[in-house]
Amino acid sequence: MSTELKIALLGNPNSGKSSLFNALTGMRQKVGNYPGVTVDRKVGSFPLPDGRRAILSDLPGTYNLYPKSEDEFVATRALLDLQSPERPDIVVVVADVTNLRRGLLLCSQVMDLRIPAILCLNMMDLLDTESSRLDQTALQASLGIPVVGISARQGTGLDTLKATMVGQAPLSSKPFFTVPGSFDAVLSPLLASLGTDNRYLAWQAYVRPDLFPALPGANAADSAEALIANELTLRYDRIQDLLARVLLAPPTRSERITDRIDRVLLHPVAGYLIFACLLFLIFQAVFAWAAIPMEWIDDMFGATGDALRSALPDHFLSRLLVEGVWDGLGGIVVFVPQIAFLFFFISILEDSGYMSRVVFLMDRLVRPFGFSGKSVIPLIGGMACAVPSIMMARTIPDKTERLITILATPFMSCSARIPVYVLLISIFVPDEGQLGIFNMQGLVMTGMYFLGFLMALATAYVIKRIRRYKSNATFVTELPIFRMPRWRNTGITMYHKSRTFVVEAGKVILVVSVLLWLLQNYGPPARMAEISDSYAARLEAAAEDTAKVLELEHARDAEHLRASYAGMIGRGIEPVIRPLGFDWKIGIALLSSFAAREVFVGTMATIYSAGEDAADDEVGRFKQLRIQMAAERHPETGEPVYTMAVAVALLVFYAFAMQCLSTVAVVQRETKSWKIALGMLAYMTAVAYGAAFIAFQVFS
Amino acid sequence: MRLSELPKGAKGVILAIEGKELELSLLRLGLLVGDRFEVSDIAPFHGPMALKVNGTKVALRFSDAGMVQISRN
Repeated sequence: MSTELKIALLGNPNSGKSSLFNALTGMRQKVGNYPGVTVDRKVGSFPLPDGRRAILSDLPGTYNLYPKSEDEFVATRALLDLQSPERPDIVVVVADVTNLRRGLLLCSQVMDLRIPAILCLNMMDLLDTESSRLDQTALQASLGIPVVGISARQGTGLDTLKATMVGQAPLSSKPFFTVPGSFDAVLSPLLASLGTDNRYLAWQAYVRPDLFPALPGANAADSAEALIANELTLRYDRIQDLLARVLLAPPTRSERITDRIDRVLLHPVAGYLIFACLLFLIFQAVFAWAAIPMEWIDDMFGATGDALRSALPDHFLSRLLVEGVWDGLGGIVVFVPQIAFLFFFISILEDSGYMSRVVFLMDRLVRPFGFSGKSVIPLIGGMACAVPSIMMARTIPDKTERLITILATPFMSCSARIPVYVLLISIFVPDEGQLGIFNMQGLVMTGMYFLGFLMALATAYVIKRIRRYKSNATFVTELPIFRMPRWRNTGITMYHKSRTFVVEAGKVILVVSVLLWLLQNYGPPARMAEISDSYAARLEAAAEDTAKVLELEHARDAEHLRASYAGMIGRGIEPVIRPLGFDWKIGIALLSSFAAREVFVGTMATIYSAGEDAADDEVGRFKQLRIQMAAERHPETGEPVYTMAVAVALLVFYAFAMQCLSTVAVVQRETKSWKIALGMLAYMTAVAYGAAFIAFQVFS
Repeated sequence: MRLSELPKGAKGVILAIEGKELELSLLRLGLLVGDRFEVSDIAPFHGPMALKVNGTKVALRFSDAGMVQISRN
């Protein structure tokens, strides 16, 4: 007897599958990805009463085994692939007892695949408090598989469920849906190549060959959609008969509460106002509240970096470790509070059922741009970070609407643009400037957000026109009943999303920061040594005067940078960026922030050597950099470098340019197309260049 | 009569669904020909319509609602 039992949880979205998964496994779970796709794969384990270990996988929510979304595809494939080592020994079909019809449909398909199954009726607590009654024994007898009633929320019935998993789950003998004999001719070759005698499996291969990628040369039957619709209708007919016998009165209470809430939340006026208020609250959290922990993280990395610097010997490797790896790592981790906050809200909105209401309210408003109501969530998320937001676009069923959303989201002003905006705005907008009751700097900042939003709309509109998209895709979605969010789930989501961000985005940013560090710190050895030598004598002479030493060191570092490989590249691209009013120093900053735009400020700090001595005082460091940038003059003309025109051009450039390799990578992963990902990079860079050019010409 | 013609609060029975894609989408969520429903909400400017059917709420676009034949009661 094996010591492990592979069990899969399958169920409709909102059936409480994830609650059951968490209740069974607790924190003993991990989230990964299915190979080749980006659907979250949750696996956990728990001990069974007979001493074996259950390896529990939480399959993505699915309505039936004819998948529409990538999530559903993954769930279906897990059951259909006979060869897969992942194929479960037992499937627990989780059904919401308040919506048994749909749950039973999925269950009947699993039974016809002859996979040992247990029907798990969730939310029994709702049933108990009401006048409704369910004849569980009769249901079990009719289905021929074990039926267990639980409440994942209250944790009741779990022991019975575990005990049922241990007992060999018997298979029902007669199929729920009998494939008509008239299909024998087309099914027999499929049965042979699948190596099975299961007619329903062959039937699925016949109507949905895309579910069987290993099967050679199969084309979908002409009337596949009609055949599927027919199968589902027949199943529903039988289920209807069954329910008429076992379900004596369906529960209704939670529905009434939901109706009352919907009366307000879906109200043509109040509904939109409430949504606007919620958005404001989320912004407040992501920008204002998250700033506090972000500062702690920044300070922590700064302090530990300094500690490392002084503890380690002055050697190439230790500098690489501290300035390349550690600082690069700090640049990633600092965004964790924003991502965690964003997902805190998103997971609550999702879990409570409100997110579907947003989709309902917004669908009509965003459709003229080729978006779907479901695009609103990624677009909002894009104001924190485009990477997880683009992943959220997965829930959009229509391919074109999904693509438009993916391509428009990176234009939303993400949090990484904030430091860049703050620095540049402070250069040309006076701090004291007021327009009525509004602070001028704040107004310009708000303007930048609008600029990004407008460009997202424009981009969406252009793609819609290019693809001649009519915005008339079928769009049907469920508005689930309102429920209290499960805080544990929220915590788990926050943790996993933050972790995924740090690991996924971190890999890219880390590699690039190390590379940049090398380029910035190394140049043609002879030239670099020459600079060091020319300063060595002067430094020795000024050894007593600390201020003088610092000043000389900064001047030396600045000259080193100019001579470094990064500096050479910066000067190399100067002719290209000259029309935008940018010089080679900005060129280095543009290039080094190519992988992650937030690197811009750090690079500028290095270039103007405003760093080190004031590093532990962020405000001081920032102010110093600002003063130095404002004082910067052209060597030939003596004019200021950072005129209003240059600052505006830079602002516009950063509003539109991609400057984020993590986003390129995630677009490639989500669309499985390098053409789209690289095309997007080229498009955004071109838009940024064009807009910065216009801005520079207009303002100078 | 078409579903898209109904005001909020109207009740009826689904008679036919035009287009296999829409029929399949509705079947997925458990909506069948012969089901009784109530129009629970309508988003402004011909936005989506929310229907209450068998204890669930399902939203569909106005253009889709135009493809559902119903009888009002």
